[in-house]
Amino acid sequence: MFKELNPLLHSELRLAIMSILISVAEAEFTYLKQTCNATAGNLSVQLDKLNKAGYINVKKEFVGKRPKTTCSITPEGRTAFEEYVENLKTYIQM
Amino acid sequence: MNKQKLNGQESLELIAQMIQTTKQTSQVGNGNTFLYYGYCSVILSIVSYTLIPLTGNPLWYNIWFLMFIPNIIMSMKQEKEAAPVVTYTDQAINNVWKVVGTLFILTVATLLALLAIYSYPNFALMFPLALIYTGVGVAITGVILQEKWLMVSPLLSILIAIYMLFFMSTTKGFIPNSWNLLFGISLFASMVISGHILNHKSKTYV
Repeated sequence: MFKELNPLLHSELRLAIMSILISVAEAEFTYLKQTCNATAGNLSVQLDKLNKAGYINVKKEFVGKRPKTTCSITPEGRTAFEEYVENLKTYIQM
Repeated sequence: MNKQKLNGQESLELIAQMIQTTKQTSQVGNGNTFLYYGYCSVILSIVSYTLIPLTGNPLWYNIWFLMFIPNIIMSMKQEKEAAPVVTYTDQAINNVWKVVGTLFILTVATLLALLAIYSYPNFALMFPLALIYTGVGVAITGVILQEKWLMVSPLLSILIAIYMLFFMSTTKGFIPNSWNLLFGISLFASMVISGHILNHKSKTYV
């Protein structure tokens, strides 16, 4: 019996973002942009969706005169990601 | 990366690829912090060991307050070159050193308060206490990083600290000039060598 995959995570860029954030304490916007090979606009939109769902925290601050955006996964995001991977296993019969 | 729908295999591959890339790019953590403090303490130990007998002025012991300089340099550097990604390991190590740093500040503040109350400054206590604090900090860092030298080398600092405390208890606070050098040697072993080991290992991963 296949379980439904979380539609919020079942998108390439959002899944990539969550995969990065699950393995680190926090990551900067520029790092996510570079690692995911995404445009700033697309990344911002997807981060906003994940933030609104409560899966990630987005912290905006200024370091000197430069703006800095840092993202980290929330406990809800971690649970959702783990459930997603568990459900994924049923699809590929692990 | 604009694809909206993925099949199961693609999803798993993407997760594995992102985790692997993150692991590779975040293993740049290095031993520079150890090197800043280690070399600073070695230089200060040689300077104080040489100048105190040469000038006959014990005020040169105060040169050890310059140990706070690496902290100022690193804070300025961190503001300019903040790491784009912070791993859980980095976070744990940073927290360990925040505790060690707080211990240093509290100890100096307590000694200054005692000086104000009793007019008897015994800053010589900073030698063994600093060796214990840094020794514990290096050892915990070693446990987190699973690096043997970092776990073992602080033992020298701890043994020297015990000897210093024993010696002070028998001489009512008098300390020989050789302690300046002893302090530098033990931090050379636990911080300078450790820093170079960490830098060497981090380079092999990049």
